[in-house]
Amino acid sequence: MKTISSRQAGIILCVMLLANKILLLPSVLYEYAKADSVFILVLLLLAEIGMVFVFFQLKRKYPNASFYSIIQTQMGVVFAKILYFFIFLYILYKILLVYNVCYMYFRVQVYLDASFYIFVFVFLIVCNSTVLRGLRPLARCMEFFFYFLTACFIFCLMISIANFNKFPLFFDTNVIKFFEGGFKHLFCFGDTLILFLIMEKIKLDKKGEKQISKYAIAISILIVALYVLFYGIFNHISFVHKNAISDIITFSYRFTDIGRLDMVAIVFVMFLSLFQISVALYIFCDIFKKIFNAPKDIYGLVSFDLIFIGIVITASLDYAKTIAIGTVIVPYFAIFLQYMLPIICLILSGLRRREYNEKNS
Amino acid sequence: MKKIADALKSTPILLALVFIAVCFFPSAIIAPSESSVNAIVTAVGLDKNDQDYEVTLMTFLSRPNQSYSEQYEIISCSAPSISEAFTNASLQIGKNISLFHTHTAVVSEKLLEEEDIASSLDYLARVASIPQSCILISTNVTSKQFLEFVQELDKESDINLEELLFYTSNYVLWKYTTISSFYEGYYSPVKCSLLGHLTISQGDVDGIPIKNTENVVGLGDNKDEKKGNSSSESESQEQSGQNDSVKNGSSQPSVSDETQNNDENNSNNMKQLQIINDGSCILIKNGKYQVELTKEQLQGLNWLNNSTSGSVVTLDNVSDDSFNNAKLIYKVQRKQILDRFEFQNGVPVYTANVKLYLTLMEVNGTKEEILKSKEPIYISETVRQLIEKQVKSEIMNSVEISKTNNCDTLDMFERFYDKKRTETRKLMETENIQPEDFFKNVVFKVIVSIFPV
Repeated sequence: MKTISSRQAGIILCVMLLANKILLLPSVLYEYAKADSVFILVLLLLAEIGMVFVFFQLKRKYPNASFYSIIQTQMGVVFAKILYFFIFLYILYKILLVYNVCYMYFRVQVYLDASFYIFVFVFLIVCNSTVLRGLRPLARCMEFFFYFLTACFIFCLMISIANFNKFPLFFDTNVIKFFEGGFKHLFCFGDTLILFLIMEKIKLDKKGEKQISKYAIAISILIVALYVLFYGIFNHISFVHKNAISDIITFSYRFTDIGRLDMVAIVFVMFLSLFQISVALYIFCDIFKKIFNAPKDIYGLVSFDLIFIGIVITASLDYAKTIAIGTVIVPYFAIFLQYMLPIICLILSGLRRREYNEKNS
Repeated sequence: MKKIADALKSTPILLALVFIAVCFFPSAIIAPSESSVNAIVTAVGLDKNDQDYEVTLMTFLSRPNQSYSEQYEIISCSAPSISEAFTNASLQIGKNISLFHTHTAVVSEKLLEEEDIASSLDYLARVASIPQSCILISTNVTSKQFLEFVQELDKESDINLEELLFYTSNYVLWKYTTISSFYEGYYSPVKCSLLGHLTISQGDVDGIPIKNTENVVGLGDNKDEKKGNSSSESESQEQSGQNDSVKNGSSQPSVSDETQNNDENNSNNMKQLQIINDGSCILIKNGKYQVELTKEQLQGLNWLNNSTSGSVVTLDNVSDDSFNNAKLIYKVQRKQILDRFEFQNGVPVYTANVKLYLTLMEVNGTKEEILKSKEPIYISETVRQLIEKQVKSEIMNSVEISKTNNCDTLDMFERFYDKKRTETRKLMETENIQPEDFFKNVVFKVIVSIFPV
């Protein structure tokens, strides 16, 4: 089996951790918890980092096993298929979310007259061809662009420091709203699940674990910095600004002579979205193969294309509808699939091992 | 051919590239140039005539010329809503209105006085293609007249509106005055924002003049310097005429304007109009005009603003050991503000210790006096007291104006709420005070310390 290095796994995690957090989420969260949304973010990112350590534990116990086979061993084939079917739907939802937010962003920022069909057409072709090459070439490609993307992200943050207005008022939300905001937006988090779903393809050792943890912590710090800057710049009108990473740069007229600096953010989001959707689509195809015993990725891809076009066109699913679904139904699935399922697997594997040891002794 | 087919088969990404190229390259090649489809708007003006909004656009239309100069045209259209006016403007010029490069939005004082401009600006705020860094200013005439004047100014001199506003925002107001910052103030608990203010006037006043006033319609002889008398006059003239007009800067005014303003323009031809940037600004509360602050009143507030620097203190009639009725001018090299927020007997008290580091910049005195005070660090006890008194009085005067107009210009509510949250909440509950009224209850104590550098 073609595996990816721990560094590549760390980079995939970084890219996925940025998904759905740097454009719309700061503004949407502000409506619930105002500037205290930073603390929601910190809590949920800590949960992500916690899940990375759960992943390490599980990987140590089952170095070459897939997440599917672990669930199968612990809970049986039928239960594994059912769970994987929910994960399948969840990943589909995540792709739809990333796609819709990304489409809305590009439509507003660059392609005012871009046809929806052109966008779908280009996006499907590029992502399908990326997935067909497999995970390793995709990881290599992400590795190649990683420093460039990191530089873009840091550049956006550095430029926006000049626009920083004042620290927002913290601790000004009631507890119910705070937790409600966090719970309803769980669908934007839980990206560590990706690591579990490709765990059999990751070559991991002690050094690798450290490397992945460092990547996860570093990117989390940068995301928190983005939120602090965003709320510090926009304060009371944070709810208006739907494209956080671009808006924090274009706030000031200090840089108008240089030109449209948000082009950096646009390029950054363009690459990032492509990678996020490609990774998610790869996982979608992988799950499809496992559930339906499909021999090749192409079956999963064709199914995805048909489902995607069907949903997006017939249901005219835009970002607002996607988020509305996300805040109502998805959190209940998310809390189970993202956090509880890996922990349950880890606990069960511990119990089974104890039973096994007791029997043997 | 087989080799190419094999290569495409083994590398799907190449296949994707070929697909995209086949589908999009031809349409990209035959597509018309951006400049022939889009009109690039660099400034937008908003006015209101009775029920209709009038949108004025300063538009860059690219066309070949030998002078390499940028040519702008003023387009104005009226409609019951801003978006309809924009659509009409597109119809007039046969191009899409592109707001990507808009750097200035102008609103007239009249519009500010009549209605909440947040609703008027809604279209601009929603259309994300307008940069958030677009500066929002007000003017005493109609924004149409203002932009026409700016167009003439641009032709006659190298002075650029964008640079002028940039300087004012950065070195006079010390505050962003963009559409975004307007909304930030508007949606804040105190509902207060600040706008830059540029006036156009006639007569013997300081400002940047233009000689050719033919194209600036409606600025009559009897124009008052303040409060837009001329704007209402010109608007009534415009209302009776054609609503939509497209006017080239180099051409004559449109027929309707020409007939109505013929006599007026004749009398104006020999006079100069001036754009006056006197550092004044306008306080907006709930999106409406509240009060105009002069440069001096603004300076009073800026003494308590940490980011300001380079201010000047002018002392008249200084008499001490070295001077007799001399005029001394000091420059503030550095400033430090140590502030304290406390509640004394349930009353919010703000204490600001303003430390000023000053250098003597100019002496208007006798030959002997100038000789005596060569040192830039000259500050006698009398001078120190005079500066302290002046700075304090400027601060208190500006605070009083803000209190009278109920504008929390110093963000006192949020600062108290941040530092003394429990006491602030308690006071608001017991006295039933709204956040926007909190400022009126704050007692100001100012200590000024002077240090020569």
